[in-house]
Amino acid sequence: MADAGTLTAWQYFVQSADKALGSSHHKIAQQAAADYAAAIRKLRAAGLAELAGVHFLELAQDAMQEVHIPQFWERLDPDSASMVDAGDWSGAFASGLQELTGVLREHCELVKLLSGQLLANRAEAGGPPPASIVGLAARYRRAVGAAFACAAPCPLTGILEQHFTQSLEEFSNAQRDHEEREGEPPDSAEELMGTEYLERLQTVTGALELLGLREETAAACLAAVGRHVRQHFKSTMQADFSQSVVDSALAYIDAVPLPFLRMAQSEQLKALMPMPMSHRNQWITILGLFVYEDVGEMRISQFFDMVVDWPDSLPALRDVKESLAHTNLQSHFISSFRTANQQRLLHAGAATLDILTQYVNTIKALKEVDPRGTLLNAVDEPIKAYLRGRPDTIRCIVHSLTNDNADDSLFGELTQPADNEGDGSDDDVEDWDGLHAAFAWRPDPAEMGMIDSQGRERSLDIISMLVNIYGSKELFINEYRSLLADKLLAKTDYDCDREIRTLELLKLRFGDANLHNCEVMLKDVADSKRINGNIKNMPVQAMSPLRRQRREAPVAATSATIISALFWPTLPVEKFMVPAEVQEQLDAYAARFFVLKTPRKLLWRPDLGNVSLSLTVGDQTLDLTVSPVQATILMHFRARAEWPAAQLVHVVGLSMEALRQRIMFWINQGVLAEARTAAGVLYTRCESLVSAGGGRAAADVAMEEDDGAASLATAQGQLHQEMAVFEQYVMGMLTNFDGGLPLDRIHNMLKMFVVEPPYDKSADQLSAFLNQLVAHEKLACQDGVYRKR
Amino acid sequence: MSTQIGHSPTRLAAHSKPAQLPNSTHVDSHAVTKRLQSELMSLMASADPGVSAFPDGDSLFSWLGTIHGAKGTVYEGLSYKLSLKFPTDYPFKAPLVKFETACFHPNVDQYGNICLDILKDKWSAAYSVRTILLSLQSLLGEPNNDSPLNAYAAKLWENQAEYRRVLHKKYSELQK
Repeated sequence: MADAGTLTAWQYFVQSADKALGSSHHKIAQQAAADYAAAIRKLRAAGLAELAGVHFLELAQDAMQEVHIPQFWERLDPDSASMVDAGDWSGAFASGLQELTGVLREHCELVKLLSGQLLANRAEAGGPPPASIVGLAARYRRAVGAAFACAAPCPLTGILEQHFTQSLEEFSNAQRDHEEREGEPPDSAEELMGTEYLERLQTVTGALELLGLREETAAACLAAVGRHVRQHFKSTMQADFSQSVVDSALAYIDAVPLPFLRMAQSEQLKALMPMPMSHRNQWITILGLFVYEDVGEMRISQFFDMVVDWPDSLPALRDVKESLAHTNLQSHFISSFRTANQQRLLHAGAATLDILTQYVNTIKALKEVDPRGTLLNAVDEPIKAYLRGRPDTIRCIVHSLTNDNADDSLFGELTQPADNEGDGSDDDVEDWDGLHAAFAWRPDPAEMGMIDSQGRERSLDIISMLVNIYGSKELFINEYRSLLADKLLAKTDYDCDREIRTLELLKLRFGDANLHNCEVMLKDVADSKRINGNIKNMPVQAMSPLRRQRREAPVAATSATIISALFWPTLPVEKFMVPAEVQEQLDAYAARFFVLKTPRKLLWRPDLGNVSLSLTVGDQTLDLTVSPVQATILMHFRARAEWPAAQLVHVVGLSMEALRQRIMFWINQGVLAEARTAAGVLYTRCESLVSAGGGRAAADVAMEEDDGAASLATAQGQLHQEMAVFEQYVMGMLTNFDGGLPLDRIHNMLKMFVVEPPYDKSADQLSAFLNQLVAHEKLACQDGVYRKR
Repeated sequence: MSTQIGHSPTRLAAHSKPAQLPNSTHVDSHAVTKRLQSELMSLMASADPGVSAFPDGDSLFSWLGTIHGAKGTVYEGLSYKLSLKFPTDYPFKAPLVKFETACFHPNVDQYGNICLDILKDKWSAAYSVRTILLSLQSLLGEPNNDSPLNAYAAKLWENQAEYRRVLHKKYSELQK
């Protein structure tokens, strides 16, 4: 039972505790604290110390929760009347916190006093101090901190972030102003901001620590910095490709957020950070993570244009590389770039050459971004598939490879050495390369798992990539051969130095054996030059006596390109009748050839040549180079001024359509005129040049188109010819399989059952051929299944 | 009966046929493959109208065939699928030829088995897929009614108009 003395002591204690807690001025508090300490001592003597402790803690906590904390939040509440204007929010926050922690400190003093007495009590009684008393002050602080956080009108981290964001903005504005004023960044951030700013920052941090909110503070501080960096990046990023935004973002991080972090943190807080502030570069990298994602998003959406601008977009490509290395945006990149290609490149409106150029740029750009080629593998398949479907792709590739005049030509690529993988000519070098490769090896990014990239070769050599669009170099070489044939036949001066150079370069890449035919073709031309010279300068004595007696037709106007037909691609044949006087010259030339090269004979292909002629119409003279057929047609108008089409067809030996096609040239030139009579079409010679209103330009175009179509037809025709053997098999197969067969079945069955001639075509070639058959209405194709019609 | 069963193993052992068999088939199969390949080639090259055959996709020893009824016969306009299975000792043995499409014909039974002398005892190594197909095509128009597999068809053959009616009815039922 408590006696009267104890009761008074208790009452006294309660009063003094109330006073001590209620006072907010240090002087009174000291008096109150002394009274309070005396009261505790009395109670302790009465054995009520522990009870007193519990009571006091409750009281103190109540005082905090009921009075101080609400007061603090009241001041920051934007709705309340006492709220300071927004600009000084930070200041209000800081001073409020300072007051709050002042109170907290006093309370802690009292608590310590109490716990000191309690511990002494225990020590007298003997035995270890109970856990409930040890660290009472710290526990009290934490409890207040929790109450503080709970009372916050919105999540505490948001408020802390706001504080840090505002301080950081203040700093960055000051920095910017300084830079604008002085033209250079300030020497020291601390000097720039002054002690008041620094103190405020430190006060807040210190106060929060006291409240036991260290982790929250550190997190909020980092988050605020991160947000600031992102905002700054978004407001300053530019869309041009000549600057790396990552670089500028990292420079900014170094200039602003880092000094701020240094200033804002107390010692304890620093211990919570991922690493010491002295590791500057690592900090830059960590804060850089905040921008990589944004950089990635932005650059990925621009990637297509960056490829177009290659190589001016190199800095921007570096951004992509950096952001892909630090984020997991790879799959986003792949899908976005694929879509962009699909929408902007792979449609009928784009010229094949443009697609090729873009493809080559893509290869180069992605090589920059990802030297291992995984990304390229993931995005280039649609482009390759699309190019395979274009009829003129090979032609464009070959043309662009062998044409070193054009700007966008690939000739430069040809002069680059190829990647000689596994071509071990020099063992030493090979070993070192292998070692380097082994060290440089990195596993494929996990995202690549969804895209099948296994078992494919990763060579980034552009020529081989282009050639591999079709899966085999034979097609490519064949196309080159037809192109070379066209070029060589069109030459009149036998000069083929450039072609020889190109061929040598191609030989380096594809091997001598594959290009043997082409070599023979070039040699033919060189030989022709010599033979042609010999024939023209042949002394009369060399002729047979019989021939000498006869008056021989002149050969001076004729030159021949003598080709070894076996090595040349199949050349298109156009039958027509060479005029007798020309034939005489050709025969004379052939006869001389026979004399020189017995027993070899010259077989003329007059349809493949060129005729240079001077044409006088009225008082005008035209110098033209035309095809032999066109020249032949015109020659017939020397003797007669007009020809009915039906007769002309007969003497020239052409079909009506072919004749019309050819004669159009002369009509466009204004040399001939066409008239429709009752008997049919009549062509007449014009006595003066008719200006056919832009006809000449049209004629040029017509000629070009004509030529283009003809040579394109050769490549397709060749495939058709080679495949024709298998047509019977395909038809036989489809006759017996009523349900039709898909491409791969047909391909496999041809491979399996056809031995003579062996079936060596690729599935793509077969597909092209089957589609031709479909076009000719021999087959029908539905859902990839071919059927007989 | 029982004696035969008892004797046959000893007979086989005496001739030691099982030991020789794998060896001989191996050697043959190469030759047979070549023969079948060349038959396929000549068949494709000849392109006879109305007959066609092709390996069924897995092996050269099993083919699918198609024959169209010859012009001027009741079978004109109808087409039949065949299966041809070649023995490993082809061409010394005839292939097993069956109609896969049910065929109403005096010399074809309901399972598609065909009664044709050159596919049985008159077989000769000089015959080929092509000649078989052509023989079957002519068999359609000129049945051998003396040894019918389908007696009803053989009887009906006398009345060509009625035969045509029944034939086409059965054929169109098939197409459904």
